[in-house]
Amino acid sequence: MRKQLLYLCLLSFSTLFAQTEKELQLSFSPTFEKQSILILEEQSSVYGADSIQITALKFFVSAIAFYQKDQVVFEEENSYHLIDIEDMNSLNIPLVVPENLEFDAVHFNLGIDSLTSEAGVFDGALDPTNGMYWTWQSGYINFKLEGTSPICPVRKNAFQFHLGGYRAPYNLLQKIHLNCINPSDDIHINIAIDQFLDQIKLSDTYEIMSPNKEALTLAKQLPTIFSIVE
Amino acid sequence: MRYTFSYIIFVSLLSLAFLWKAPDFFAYPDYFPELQYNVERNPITTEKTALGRALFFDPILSKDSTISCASCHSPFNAFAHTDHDLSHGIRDQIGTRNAPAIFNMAWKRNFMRDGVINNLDLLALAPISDQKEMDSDIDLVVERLQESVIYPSLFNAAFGDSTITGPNVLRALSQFQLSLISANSKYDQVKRGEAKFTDQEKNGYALFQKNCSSCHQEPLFTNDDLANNGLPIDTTLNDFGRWDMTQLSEDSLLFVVPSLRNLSFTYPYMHDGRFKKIRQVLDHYTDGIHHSPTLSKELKKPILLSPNEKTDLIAFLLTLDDKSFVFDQKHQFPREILLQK
Repeated sequence: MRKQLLYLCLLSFSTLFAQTEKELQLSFSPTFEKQSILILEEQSSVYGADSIQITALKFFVSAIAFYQKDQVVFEEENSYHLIDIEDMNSLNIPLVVPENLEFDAVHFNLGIDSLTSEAGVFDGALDPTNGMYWTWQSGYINFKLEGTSPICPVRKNAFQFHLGGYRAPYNLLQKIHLNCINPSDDIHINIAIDQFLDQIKLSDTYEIMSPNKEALTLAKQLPTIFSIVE
Repeated sequence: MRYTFSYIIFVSLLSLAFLWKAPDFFAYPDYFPELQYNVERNPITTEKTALGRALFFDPILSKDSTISCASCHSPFNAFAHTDHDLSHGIRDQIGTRNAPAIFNMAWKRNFMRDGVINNLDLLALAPISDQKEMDSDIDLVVERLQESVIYPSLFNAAFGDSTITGPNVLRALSQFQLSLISANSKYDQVKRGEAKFTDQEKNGYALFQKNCSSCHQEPLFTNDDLANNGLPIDTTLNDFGRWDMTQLSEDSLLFVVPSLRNLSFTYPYMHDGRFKKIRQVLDHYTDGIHHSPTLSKELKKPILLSPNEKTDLIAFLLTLDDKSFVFDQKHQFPREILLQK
C-alpha cells in the first residue's frame, strides 16, 4: 500500500516537472505594399494605383508541420484553421509544441485536402455553413479574396476571387514551405496581397468562382505571396 | 493490476461495439453491398431520424416557407417528382432537371443528376440555397429553427444540444434519407425465396442481365457511376451534365446512372424527364442512341430487342416496384410533430 502511494507521488511529481511543452504562435499579417490591411465593417483603406479596397479575405490553413533539415519534427494534430481577416483572433494560431523543438522551416497547406473534402460534414473550422463551402458542388473554397476597384467593369466595381476545389485536374490546394533563417518562438507570416493582385488585370479578370484552369493558374501564385517576417 | 483493469474495460467496450445494432428502420438485406456512407461519423439513431424527417417535410427550409424537400421528393413517388419533366421550386420557378428519387442513399457516392455533390451530408445545402429551389440559406434556416417552438427540443433529443448548428441540420437530414431503404420489391422477395417470378418476368430478367445490368447493377440496379446514355441534346435546355460544372471534354453529357427500382412511381424518366413511359426508354436504347465521343462503351453496339421482348423486360422491371416502401408510414409527413407547431 505504502509502496503504491510512493509510486503515485512519483508519478504526479514527474508530470509536474515534465513541462516539456510550450506554446508558439503562428501569426498571419495580410499587407498591401507593406501596409497592414484592416477591414472594419467590410471596408478597408484604399490601396495602390488601382484604388483597391479589400472587403473580404478568408483562407484555410491545414496540416501545419515543422521541419528540421528536411525532416518533419512536429505535426499539429487535427490541423484545420479558418483564417478570416475580420476576426483578429483567427490570424493567430496557437500551437503547443515540445519545449526543445528545433526547426528550420514551417510547412502548411493552403486549403483542404481531398480526403477531408469527401468525408462529409464537420463542425468547427470545416463547418460547411460558414461561407467557405460551395453549395452547388462539393468543395471548400481554399482562398477567398473580395474587394472593389473602379477599374472593374461590373456592378459595384467588385472583384471576387474564390479559389478552391479538390478534384483533378483542378485540385487547387497549395503546399507552402517557408524557411526560417532565425527561428524565434513565434512565427510571423506576411501575406502580400498586392503581389497577388499584381498578377491580375482587374479590368479583364475580376470574377473567378469555380475550380477551373484560370483558378488553378492563380492558385499556383499563392505560395509566392507568403513569407516569413524575420 | 492497472493493466488488467483497463484491459477489462477495453474488452467490454469492444463487445458493446459488436452488440450495437442499427435500429430496425436501418435494416437492409445481406445481399446489399457495403455501405458507402460512413455511419460511424453520424451513428443512426431514432431521434436524429425523427428530426430529419420533420426537417424534410417542413417548408421552414425555404425562404418564404412554402416549399419543403417533400415538395419535389414526395414519398408516394419514391421521393421523386412525378408528372413534372422539370421540377419546380419556390414561386413556381421551373428548374432545368427532373428531381431524382431518394432511396438507398447509404450506398451512393455521386449525388445530384451530375454527381457534383460528393457526400450525402452536403447534399441538402444545394437545394436550400438554389434560387429556383428554396432560395434560402443555411444560416437563415438555423436562425428560424432556433426560434421555433418545436425544434430546440428535437435537436436536444437528437444531439444533446438545443443550440442548433448548420452541421447538425445536415446530419439530421442525412439520417432521414439514410432510413429510406427500398428492399422489399418482388425482386427482393424472389431473392429471399419468398416469391417466384412468372415466366414472363423470368424471361425479362434474362434480357435485363444481358442488356442492362452492366450499368444498372444488381441489387441496387445502378453502379452509381456517371455515363452518357446517348440521349440527343435538348436544345431548349443545352444541359451537358457533368461538363456544365467541370468544363472537361471527357465529362460532356455525363449523368449519374439512376436506380431502376420503383420505376412505376418515379416517372417521367431521364435527367430532363423527357420520357413518360418505360417503353419509350427502351425504344431509346434500341433505336434512339445518339453517338458522341463520350457515349458509354456498352451502348456503342446496338441493343436489339423485339417488341415482345420489350414487354417481357418491362414485366421484370415492374418487379422492382416496392409498394411497402412507398406507403411506409415512417416515411410520410410527420403529423404528430409538424402539426403541433
